[in-house]
Amino acid sequence: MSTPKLNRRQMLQGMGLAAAGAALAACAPPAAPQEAGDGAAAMETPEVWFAVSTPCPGGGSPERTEAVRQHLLDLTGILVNAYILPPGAARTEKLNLLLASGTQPLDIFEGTWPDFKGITLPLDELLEQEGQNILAGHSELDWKMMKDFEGTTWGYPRLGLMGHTHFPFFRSDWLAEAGLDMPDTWEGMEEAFVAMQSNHPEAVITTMGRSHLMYNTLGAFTEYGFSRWIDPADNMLKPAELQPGYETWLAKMNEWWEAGWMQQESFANPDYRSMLKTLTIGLWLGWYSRITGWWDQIRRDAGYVEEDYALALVINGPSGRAKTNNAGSNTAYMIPRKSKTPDAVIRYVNWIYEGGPDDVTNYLIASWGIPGEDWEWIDKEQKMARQFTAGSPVCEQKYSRDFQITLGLGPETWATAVKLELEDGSIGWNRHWQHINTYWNQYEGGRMPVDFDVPYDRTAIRDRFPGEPDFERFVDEESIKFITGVRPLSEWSSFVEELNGAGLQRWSELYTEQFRLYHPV
Amino acid sequence: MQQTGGEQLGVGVTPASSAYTERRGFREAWRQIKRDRFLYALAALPLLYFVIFQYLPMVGVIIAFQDYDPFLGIDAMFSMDRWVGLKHFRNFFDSIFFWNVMRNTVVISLYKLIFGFPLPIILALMINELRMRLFQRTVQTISYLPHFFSMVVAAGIVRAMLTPQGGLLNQLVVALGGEPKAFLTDPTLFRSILVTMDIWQQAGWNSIIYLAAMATINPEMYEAAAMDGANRFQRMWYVTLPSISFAIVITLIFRIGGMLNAGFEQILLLYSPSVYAVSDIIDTYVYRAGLIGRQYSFGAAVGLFKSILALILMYMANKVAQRLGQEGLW
Repeated sequence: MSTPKLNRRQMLQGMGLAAAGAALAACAPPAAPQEAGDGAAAMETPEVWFAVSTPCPGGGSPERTEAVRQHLLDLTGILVNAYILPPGAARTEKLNLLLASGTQPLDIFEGTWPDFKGITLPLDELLEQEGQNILAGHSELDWKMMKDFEGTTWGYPRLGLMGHTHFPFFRSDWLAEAGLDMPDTWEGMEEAFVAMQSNHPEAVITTMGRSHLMYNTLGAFTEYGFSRWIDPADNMLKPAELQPGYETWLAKMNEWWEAGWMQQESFANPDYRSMLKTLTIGLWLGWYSRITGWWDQIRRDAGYVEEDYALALVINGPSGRAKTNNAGSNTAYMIPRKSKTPDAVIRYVNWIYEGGPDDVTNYLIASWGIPGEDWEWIDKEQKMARQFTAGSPVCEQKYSRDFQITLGLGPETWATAVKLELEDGSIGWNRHWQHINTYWNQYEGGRMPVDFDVPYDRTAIRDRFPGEPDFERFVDEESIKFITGVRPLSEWSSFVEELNGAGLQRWSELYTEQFRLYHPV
Repeated sequence: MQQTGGEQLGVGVTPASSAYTERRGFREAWRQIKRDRFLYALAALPLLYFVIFQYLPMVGVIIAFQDYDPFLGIDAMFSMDRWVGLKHFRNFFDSIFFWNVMRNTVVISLYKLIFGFPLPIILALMINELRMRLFQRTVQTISYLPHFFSMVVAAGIVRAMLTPQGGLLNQLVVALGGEPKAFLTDPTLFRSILVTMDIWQQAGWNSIIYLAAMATINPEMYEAAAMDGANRFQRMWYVTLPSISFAIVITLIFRIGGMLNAGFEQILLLYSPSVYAVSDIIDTYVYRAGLIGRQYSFGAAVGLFKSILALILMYMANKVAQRLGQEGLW
């Protein structure tokens, strides 16, 4: 039998057909998400899709994840799925694409709710019908931050007023070496640093950008700390940077900079984990979790015994408490309008909230996995648990929290009371959780921002003042120049003039307008 | 032929004769297409690629004139309800950062052009003069290598080298008795770092086109020059350089056309608030406003403004090249 040979023409025709087929295939719409189960069962099982950030951007063990997914289906009757968002700025990009895409289902995501108003569902009715546990799980202030001025609720709380996010963390072993107690005054803080530096010339003060520095220190020199404030001169809201005392604070920070106290990359987004490993940071003025989480891990991995950090509860400066509490937040979990299963989402979240602060089992299932396989209670009453795969530092060995959509306030804060069995069999309290559990609602050590309870709609402000993001950035940029000495403080008055040119008046009008909705004169 | 000649001379042509010429032209074109149909079929796919992925998306530029909200779906793009005319362009021109981003874009691009453009030519000339084949190839490979690093990796290397926390350069500074310095946060050094990194990464790769052009030079020209007593430098100056001048001009036109692309990824990965004043360029501004701040229309307007400027620059460069007697792009 002879094989028929293709002539040139047939070959070209074949190639043309294949090319056309490939082009059609490439342009075809993506396949619909796979149905769960088959037939009638799939019709009855609601399926929900979450956009989540997890500690494992590449995902966890596929087997464990699937097992947890099935376990959650058994417990809640809801089939859960997750898109894992990448870390950093790419997270926003990916989320925006998911929201704008008409081809991929998405039922819950997090962000500041005013930015997404118009594409998200109001949740009042759903919460009333399916979310009683969620409603009971948050304070009045938390819910106030979720509502617009008409009283419509646009999400359930992700973050809120927090007392635990900023503390000065000192190298406790260096303090002890210098024979000093934990300082509680500005002078004491400076003296402590000088003493540390005289013993360890490599010692530096590190922060994570100007805002963190302001949260930790601005209150020492100003009346309102890191907060917008009402200027009695015209009764208008002004930026923190224009309050009396800010210039003095800048001068003090510049003094620190010029003296070589501050880590030179404090305003340059360096790799903080690597920086912590260098053991040169004598005083940390950044976000708390870099010490309670990252440092703690570094310390355990390296087997450090003496080397450690301890926090100063209160630092009082010339104008009073140096710290400002993290204001109430309108960061929320929201449901897109396009969601086909909003009731199932709220039902699932409500299930996680079930049990309240006393019983966080459901939260731990959504976070750690299946009891008896990934973790187990040692003593549920005493909130003592033992982790199996859930404790693994290796993402590929565990379920990586893909179906957890109640981070921040509520269940996650309640769960910080749980203590874990350590390697030697004893029971210990994770340092990070201990910190949150102890300080999250302790506001006395810091100043309360003037507008801590105002859920500003920055999108609405930006619509009417498109230069608002530029204005904020300009303030930040120039302030850093003053701190680092690139711009001399003698130019302060011309900086204020420049702010006027950049739209200070407009900024002030728009923020005051929203502030007054909640705080009428 | 007579009618065509009449058209060329601008004399009266009857509508009927013009239509006849047109029909004949179509018929001829169709005949040719039919004859080469398989070749056209092969060309269709790449053409389709350009239409779908390069030209159709240009329709999206319409959002620069709207208050577009991507979450409302693609239909909203074609609705006049959100039409705002030149509002976003005005907002950009009014921005406090307008002159700063314009200045940074132009200055960084100019630095890269002035220092980065001649170096690949010089490198190619030097590589071309090497006689040891093995050494020549080794130099070429080493000089190409950085081009293949992703920008994230390259920026990571630069960061690691320059950090005051044990960076290689700072170790050297300390060893020589100096104080460690945060080079990347120093506004006076940042642009120089960008340009140096750009040269390190691209000079080798960009020299390829010149090496290829040199390979086409007729060896007899070198022999003739040698017989006339030209030394190696003179041969390079009077034979090699003029022979590759067409490649230099074309590359220069492209560089000038792309001059407003001052290195988005590179800057985004290396900059920080301390150096925003000297590094914030149009692209980083668009990224911040458009993708991060979700002001898509505003971002599109700024991007469009940049594209129009780039087109003008390219047109001007092309004209100048033609005036200087070189072949242009069109």
